[in-house]
Amino acid sequence: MQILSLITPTTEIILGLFFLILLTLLYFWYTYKKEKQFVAAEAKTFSRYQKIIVDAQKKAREIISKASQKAQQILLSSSKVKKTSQKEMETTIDKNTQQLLKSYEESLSSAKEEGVASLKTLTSQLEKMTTEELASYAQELQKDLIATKSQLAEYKTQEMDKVAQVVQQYKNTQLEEADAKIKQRIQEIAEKIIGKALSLEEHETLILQAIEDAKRENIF
Amino acid sequence: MKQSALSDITSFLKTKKQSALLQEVLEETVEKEYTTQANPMEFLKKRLPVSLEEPLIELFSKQKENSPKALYEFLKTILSQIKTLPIVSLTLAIEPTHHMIDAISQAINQPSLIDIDVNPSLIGGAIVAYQGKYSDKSLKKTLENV
Repeated sequence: MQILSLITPTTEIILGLFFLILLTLLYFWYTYKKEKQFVAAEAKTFSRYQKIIVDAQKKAREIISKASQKAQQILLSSSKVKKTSQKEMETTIDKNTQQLLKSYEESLSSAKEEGVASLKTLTSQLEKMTTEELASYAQELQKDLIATKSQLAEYKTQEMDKVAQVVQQYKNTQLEEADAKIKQRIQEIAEKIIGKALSLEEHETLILQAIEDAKRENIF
Repeated sequence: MKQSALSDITSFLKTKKQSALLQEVLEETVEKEYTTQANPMEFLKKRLPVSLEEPLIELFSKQKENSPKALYEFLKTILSQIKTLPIVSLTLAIEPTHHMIDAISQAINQPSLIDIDVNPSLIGGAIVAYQGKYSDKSLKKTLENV
């Protein structure tokens, strides 16, 4: 109880500070220790990692060298295959081409022969036909010629008739016109001469005669 | 009486022109019957030429009655008779004289009026037309037929 009574506020603060410093020191020490452990572990891990990487690099190099070797081998073999297959193909194509050419030439020559043969037969047939047909053609031509001649003669007579008709019509028209003109002239002259020359008695006689004629024609 | 009246009328009324004039005067006279007390005879004398007036009066004098009323009746009968007269159309080369018209009327020899048309190109003769019938007896036609 006495001890507790000795504790004053100042001592309380001092004690508090003391504990606080102590705690801080303990924390720093702990942290330092942990960091040391971490660095050591890190170094250990790094060395292990490096080892792993070096190992992996080694293995990869081995694998790559092996693979390249194999690839070279494959390439070599494939080029060989390629060369052989190309050669084979070329020879095959050549062969086929030759065969085709040969068959084409054969068929061409046979066709040519056939054509020549058929031409020969055709020529001989034509030779036979022409002599017969020429004769008949000449006959037909002669017939046509005669028919054309008669048609021409007919056409000529028809045209001559037409011309004669036209001439006659023209003649008639001209004559009619001349007649009409002469009549008109005569009438004009008669009108001038007779009209003046007729006396009143003569006019009366003509009028009465006209009425008598009309009566005879049953006009009244 | 009517038939004799027709021949009596045509004894002095020969042409369509005369007939037209007479009709006009007669119609005017007849219209005055109930509007005026004047003697119709006087009116006729004033309006008609002698060639028509004298034979008309002479014809009326042959009637039994001579009163104005009888004259009106006579004029009405004459008017109606004129309207029934047929027309003979004549085309002549010259203007006819009265003598010619009388001669033509006699030659036609039936109650009718003559309608005269003048065409000198006919030279002489006549063209006669009557009730749709036609006869060309002109010298012009004769020359055309030559």
